[in-house]
Formats: sequence, C-alpha cells, structure tokens
Amino acid sequence: MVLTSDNTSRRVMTLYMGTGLALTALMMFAGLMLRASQAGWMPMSPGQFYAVLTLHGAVVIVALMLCGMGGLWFLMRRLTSLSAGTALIAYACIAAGAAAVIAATLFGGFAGLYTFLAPLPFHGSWPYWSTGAFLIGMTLITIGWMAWCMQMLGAVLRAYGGALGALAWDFVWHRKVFDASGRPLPPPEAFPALMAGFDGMLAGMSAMLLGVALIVRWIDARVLINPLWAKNLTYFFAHTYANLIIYMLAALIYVGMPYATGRKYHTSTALVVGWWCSMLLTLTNYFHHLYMDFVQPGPFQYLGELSSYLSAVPVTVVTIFSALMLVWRSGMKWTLGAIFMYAGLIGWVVGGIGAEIDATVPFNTHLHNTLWVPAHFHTYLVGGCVLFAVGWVFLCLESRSIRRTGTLMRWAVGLLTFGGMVVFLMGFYCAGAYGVPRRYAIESPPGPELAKIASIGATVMIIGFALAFAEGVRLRFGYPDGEATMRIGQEVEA
Amino acid sequence: MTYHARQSRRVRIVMGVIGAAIALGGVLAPLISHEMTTIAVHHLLHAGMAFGAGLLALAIAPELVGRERSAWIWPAVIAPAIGLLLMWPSEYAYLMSHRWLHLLDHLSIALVTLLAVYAAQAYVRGLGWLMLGLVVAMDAACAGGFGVSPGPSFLLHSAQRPSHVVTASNAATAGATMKITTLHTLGAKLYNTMGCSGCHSVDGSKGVGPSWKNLAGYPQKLSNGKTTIADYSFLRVMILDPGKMDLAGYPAGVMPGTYKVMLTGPKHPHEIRLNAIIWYINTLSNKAGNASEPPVPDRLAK
Repeated sequence: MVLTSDNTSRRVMTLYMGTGLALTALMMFAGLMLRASQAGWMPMSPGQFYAVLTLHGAVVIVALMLCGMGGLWFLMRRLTSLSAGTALIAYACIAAGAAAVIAATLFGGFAGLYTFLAPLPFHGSWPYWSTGAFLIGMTLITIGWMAWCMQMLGAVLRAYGGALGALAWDFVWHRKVFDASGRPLPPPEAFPALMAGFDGMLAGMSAMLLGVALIVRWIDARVLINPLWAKNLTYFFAHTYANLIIYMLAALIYVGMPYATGRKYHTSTALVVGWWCSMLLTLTNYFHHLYMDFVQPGPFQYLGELSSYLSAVPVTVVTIFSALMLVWRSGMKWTLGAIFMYAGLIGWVVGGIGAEIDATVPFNTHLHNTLWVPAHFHTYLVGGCVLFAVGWVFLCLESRSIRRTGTLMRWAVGLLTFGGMVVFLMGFYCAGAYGVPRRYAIESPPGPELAKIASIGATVMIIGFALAFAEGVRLRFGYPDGEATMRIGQEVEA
Repeated sequence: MTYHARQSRRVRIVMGVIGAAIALGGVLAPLISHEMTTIAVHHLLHAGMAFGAGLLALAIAPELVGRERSAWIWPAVIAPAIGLLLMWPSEYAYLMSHRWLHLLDHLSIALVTLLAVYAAQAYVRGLGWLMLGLVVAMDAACAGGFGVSPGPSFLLHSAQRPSHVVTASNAATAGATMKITTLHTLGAKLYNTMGCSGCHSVDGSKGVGPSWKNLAGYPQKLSNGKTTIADYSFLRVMILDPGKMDLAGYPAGVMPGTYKVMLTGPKHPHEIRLNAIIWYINTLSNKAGNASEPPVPDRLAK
C-alpha cells in the first residue's frame, strides 16, 4: 500500500500548489486593480492597464496550472513511481518563465496582452527587450509544462500497460476479456492525468512552435508570421491549457470527495466515455473563439460549436452527478474543505453553461469579445479551479490537524467568499449582456458603473479568501507531534 | 526468440531502412537539386525528412517496459525547439547559395528529430510514436505561417487590396495606364513567397526597407547625398546587388545579397522571376513608365 506519508510527494505538491496559490492571490489583487481602474476609482494610464492585464491573464493561467500539476502529480505518485527530480526541474523552468513574464510586464511595460496575438507584440511602445523577455518566458513555461505532461503520460502508460489499458478500452468494449485478464482498472483520477498528458503534449507543441516563431521574428524583423496562423496556434494551446486546468483539478474531486463523504468513487463506463470525449474534442473546441474570423474555413466553425458541447458536457455531467450522489445522504461533515470542493462543482457548471452559451453561434454574434467571455472563464477559474485547489488544501490540512473550524468561521468564510464572488461575476455577466467590449481600459456605459459593483464584490471575496487563509494557518499549527501521515487517499493500493 | 519477437524485429528493420532512406535523401537533397522553392514547400520538405529520421529513431530505440528513465525527458522536449530554430525562414535564401551549409542544416534537423523521437521512446515505450507525430506535424505546420505571409487572404479579399495594385480583376479599368500581364500576378506572388513582404510594404508604410508604393519612377535619395531615379537598372541593382547603393534613411547591409543566385544565372536564363518582381513594383507606382519597366516581353503570356 502506498501511503501519503511519502514526504517527497507531499513536498513536491506543496511546492507546486503553494506557488500556484500564492501567485493566484497576487493576481486577484492585480485583477481588483483593473476593475477599480475601469470603475474610475484607481488612476491608471491605458499603458499601465494593458500591461497589468497582460500580467494578470498570463500569470493566472500559469498559477492555476501549477496547482493542477502539483495536485495531479501527487495523486499519480500514489499509483506509480515518478521522478521528483524531473518534477522539480519542470517547476524551475515554469518559475523562471513566470519571473520573466512578470519582469517584462511590470518593469518593461509589455502590454501585448496575454494572448500576444501576432503582430501585436512587435508594434507597441514598450522596449524591445520586454517583448523578448515575455516570449522567452512563455517558451520556458512551455518547456516545463511539456516535461510534466510527458511524465504524466508516461506514468499512466506504464501503470496500465500502454495506451489501451490507460484508456480502459477493454473495460468499455470487451468487459469479459477485461475481467478475465486481471489487469488493473485505472481509477478515476488516472483519466485526467492521461488527458493532461496527451492533450497537454499537443497543446505544448503548438505553444512551442508559436513561441519559437515569435522569438525568431523578434530577433529577425525579416521573418513573417501569418496572423491567422498565429491566432489559431494561440487559441489552440491557450484554450486547451485553460480547459486542462479544470480537468486536472477535477482529479482532486475524485479523491477529495470520497474522503469527505466516506464513500468510494468508482470508474464507470459513463465516466470513461465522458473522458474520451473530453480528451478528443477539447482539442477542437477553441474554434468558437474565431467565429468572427471570416477567413477561417467554414467547417472549422461548425466543428467548434459541436466540440464545445461534446467536450464539456459528458465529463462535467458524469463527474458532477457522481459527486452529488456521493454527497447525497452520506452524512458528510461540511468542513471548509468540503464546502470549497462542493462549491467548486457549482462554479464549474455555471462557468460551463456560460461558455456553452458563448459558443452557440446566434448568441456569439451578440456576445463575442464582450465581457461575457471573461465572465464565463472567471466563473470556472475562480468559482471552480481556485475552489477545488483551496478545497483540496483544506482537506489535507483537516486530515492531519487536531483543530476543527468553528461554525461561525465557516459561515463567515462561505458568505464573504461566495457572496463577493457572485457580485463580482455578475458585474462581468451583466456588462457582457449589455455588449460592453472586453480588454478596454476605458469602457463604454454601463461598463464603469458595473465595474464599481464588481470591484466591491471582488474586495469582499478577497476578504473571504484572506479569512480562509488565516484559518488554514491555524489548522496547520494544529498538527500533532510525530504524526506524518495524511489520511486522505490512504485507500489506494499500489 | 519467439515468433512475435522475430516479426517485431523484422518490422523494425524494415522501418529503419525506410526511415534511413527518407532521411538520407532529405539530407543530401541540397547536393542533388539546388533550385529555390518557396518557404512553405521548404518547411514541408523538412517535415518529410523529419518523418524519415523519426522512423529510424523508433527502429533503433531500446524497448523498455515499466521503467521510467526520467533524464530522457529533457532531450525529448528541447530537441524539437532546436529543430525549429534550424528552420529559420529568412536564412533559407542564404542557405540556397551555400549548398554545404544547407546540407549541414538538413543534417542537423534530421539529427535533432532523431534525438527527440529516440529520447521519447527511451523514456517510456510508445511515447516515441507520439513524439514522431508531433515533430512532423510541427514542422509541417510551419508551412502555414512561419516565414510565410498571409498571401491567400490578401488575394481572396480584393476589398482589402490597395486600389492602385493592378491585377486581373481590375485590369480593365487600369489598362489605360498599365497593361496587365501574368508577370504582374507572378510578381505579387513572389513578393509574398520570397520574403520581400517582410521588409517592404505595398501601402506606403515604412518598414525595414522602402515601401514599394510609388517607388518606381520616383527620385530616391542615397546615403552619399546623391539622388537617382528608380528606373529599371536602379531596381535591378537594388535587388541583385544591394550593397552597391545605400538608400538614405534605411540601415545598410540588411537586404540579403542572395537574391542574385535565386533570380539570375544559368538556371534563370530569362530572369522571369526578377522581371516579374520589377513589373509588380511598377504596378504600385503612379510614375511607372518605360524607363522603370523591364525591357523584355512577357514570356509567361506567350
């Protein structure tokens, strides 16, 4: 039996998730500054606004990616051997890349936005070096990400006897053969690892191609970059990354919710097929961001709409229904860990519905590039991914601490965090529905008024998270002496 | 040795021979043919060569089961990026005039692909196939836009095209001042595919080099203080021997000197492509005339 007393594994997870959550917290403040600036409450020049927006978008994705990577690495290490050294070098690459991005935006004023669509990075008023620092930083992040993906993919292939075993192919199509073979069935958390590894490699290669091409263009002005080609590559990798973040963090549900409810989460045919759909169609759903690019071939647009539904709906429905069934009449204690995990499911669904609405062509003609887009991705990033990560941290803390969180504290954290989050997000959704465009330092009415409401909501939400952080520290100091084993995840057998 | 093991070995030998033949053909191609192709086609040829090198790598990679050799991850991840740097599109023209350097470039691309695929397969068996697909796809995807201008969309959307450009579609109205020929169309295509558009705009905006809009027939100030009219001989010299004259206001030594090999010499007896480019420059100017047009008939039309 592999216990979670594996200190190396826990340290690697702590390093990844700690860095990810710290960067997320910083970027929450950066985001609050942006909304306050749009509300007219914080003086910020457009140049500063776009530089901070670039920083906010790029670093949040990296931060939450780190949370997902750390969590999933920890879970997979329970199932098979994984080199901690490789994970640490990958972390170093990502950290160095993130530092370069921060330097390029904060000190160099690079404001080519987090999508850095060509040729924008080369036509700004920022210094030459900051474009290079940003591009090299993003490429370093890609190298670290690719190494991690390869490690994940290798892990599931080794653990389950190749691609068909990892996909649970025989389990779905040839059940009798599978039962007779005695081969291990991948647990639910192995599917996010497989998907992150495979899709992540494809997206990573796309990012690497774009990164190198843009660096070459930065060095040599004679090199041409086709903007539509670059946009396709950008959205292919960035949209896939954004999707993978939530799928990676969903793996924490598969272990966290059983721990909280005391029930088992089984691999079922529906779950496996749902993951197959996501793994395949997540790669093609990004086309819904290019509906307005009229030179894009028509079939891609239809594929984008179809994939958007088929990639998200099956696995979301299966995972969430299964999770709800685990909770139903389980007598689960509503600790902060359980509350955050459960609330994360809601954020995942609401954000997903927002995404599907935007991906539907008739709605997209109205909502394209309005604040509806940041509304939906903030919902599933803040209301889903961050909550899964924070929930997981709390479950880990609660599994070891002798202290318990009081009712008042749970209510205070819950009300402030989720109440503030709803107000903050509604500011985006309402502005999007009114057609206020995204990525503008100065918004058209009713953008500024809604930004004021959103800023208040974001402030309340941050206070809620700060309170949760303080409670987390209190729990951390409640570890008994000599106790080194986390109880979460003990049921897994090697 | 079991039957399956023997079969597997045979497959690997065949795969290795085919891969080696393709890779070797690609590496030696600069010695066999030295005709300039478009950048996009060049990228695709590299992808083909990478496919051969990858097959060879899979044939020679060790078969490891159930072990993680983590050190192999890093060459597998970094080698494809190095391969992309070796496909630096603006240097293709230079490489075309230095065949041994070109051969070395091809050899390097094949070797880094071989390393990437071998390392992935050595890390965990099966990952080499994925890496082969990714590297070939990445090299082929370069043809879509790495060093390649958005030519197709420019040609498709006539509404976005500068109105002074004479093409087949507006030839009827433009014919009073300039006779449209197939050389104009070829010139426009070469502008996009030979890298000209990286430095020269056609809408008057300043780039690394002078805009081609209203260039032909206009006086040009040189860095030595003199002024000269951009007639045919001037345009020809600036394209083929850019070091002979420097334009005031533009950095010297940036224009590659390799177009001479690509456009003239024994392999280009009629200099069709050179004339096509000069014809195209003429269509962009409202002072173009006999002095600035190439003194040759439109051979393509015949």
